[in-house]
Amino acid sequence: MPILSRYEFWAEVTPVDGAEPLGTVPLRRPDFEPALQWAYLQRVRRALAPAVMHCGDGVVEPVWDEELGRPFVESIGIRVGTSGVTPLSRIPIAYLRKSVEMAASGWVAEGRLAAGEPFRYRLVAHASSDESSMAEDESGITAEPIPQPLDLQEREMAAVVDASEARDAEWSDDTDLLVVIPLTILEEVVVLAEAAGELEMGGVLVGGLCRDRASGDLFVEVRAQLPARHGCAASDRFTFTAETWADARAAIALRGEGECLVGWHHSHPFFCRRCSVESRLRCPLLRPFLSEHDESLHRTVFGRAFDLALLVTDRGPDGREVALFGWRHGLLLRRGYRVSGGAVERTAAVEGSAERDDATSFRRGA
Amino acid sequence: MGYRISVEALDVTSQHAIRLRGVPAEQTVGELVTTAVGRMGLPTVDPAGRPYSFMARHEVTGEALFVSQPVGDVLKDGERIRVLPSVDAGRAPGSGAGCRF
Repeated sequence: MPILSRYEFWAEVTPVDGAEPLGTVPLRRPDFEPALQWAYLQRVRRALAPAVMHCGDGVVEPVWDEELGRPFVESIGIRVGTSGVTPLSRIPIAYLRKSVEMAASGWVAEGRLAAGEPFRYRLVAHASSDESSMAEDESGITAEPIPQPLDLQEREMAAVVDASEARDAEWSDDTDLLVVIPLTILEEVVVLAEAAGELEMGGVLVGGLCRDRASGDLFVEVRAQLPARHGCAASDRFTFTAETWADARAAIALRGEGECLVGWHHSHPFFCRRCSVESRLRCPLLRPFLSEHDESLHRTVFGRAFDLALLVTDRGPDGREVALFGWRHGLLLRRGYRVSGGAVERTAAVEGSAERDDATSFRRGA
Repeated sequence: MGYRISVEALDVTSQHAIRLRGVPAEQTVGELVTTAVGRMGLPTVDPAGRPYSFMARHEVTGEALFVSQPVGDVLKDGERIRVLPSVDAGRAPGSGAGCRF
């Protein structure tokens, strides 16, 4: 599954308070796989590509900044396949932010940047003599991809939309796949998080990738959550073991509904229990976020462009907040979703009452 | 043993499915898993640089394959394995060792 690039990407780093750039730093082999997966799924959504999990080639190339010109990069171009006939998908340069941070961390050790000092960057690209690809090793073992079908299920998206209501719409983007989650599942994960107390908990999301009969577009139906068995819980982490995944796959087979894993869920306990009220006000840990380990888990196990991560954050006196994350342009970002199965009715029933906040935001213990 | 076999390897969600040809029968399951994970392009270390551990299960029997077993003893030509990682969620910055905010 080689992703080829005839260019090396570098970042020109400038401290936020500085006028002059500190210099440029090379980005070593950025991981473009999520971006390629996202680009491929966009083509499946428009019926321009087969409904299989993409396991083919891709090409990365810079899209030059029109004002600054070469070598400054306005966005990253991802092309599915290597034939050059597919159109370029544009990925924002924010995609490489973590690569830049990692590359610039060396300058902290050298004293050129202070630890935690904010900086801005511009992306530049130079032609490379070394095309990055997965070279064959000397073991004599060859690998070839086996395309796996996406197992799309035919559904009426309009009916799904009518029977659900939008949540976290402010986190939505026009390019996002529609995702619908039953209210009962959201309630279940909140109950699991409550029961876990000061420990983290985890589980998997089960459902299906559906194709709308009318438009042909894709959407995701979450139909169940399964608490992770054989996992290890601690106050600052939850380990999904190999047995956890095997157990989840066996459970899905037993359900016999033609479903698949569509994501995972976990909780963050109240990290700020011992902090002052003033500290809590500015603490980012009180907001839903995915840690580096969360993102790495998602990349390792849930790299398909439609995979989801559901998070329950204990905000202490402010209750628990449920947030959904998913891939967008290859970046793992918070996103909107729709809630089905009683959410609309329940909201209507409590409208104007003191219970409204509890019913609409899934906050408990407030 | 001296012969080679073909093995199909898939990850948790089947996003990555590959056919490995020419796997030496005397190679251990651990070496096979390392090869499969590398060819799939999966991350092999966590953000702290600690290696992820992967284990293999026989796709049909569900049996866990031990890393020290020779491939030729536990897999026949063309059989399928699933490689499953052990991965941590969480580890929030500032937690555990004291909050920095």
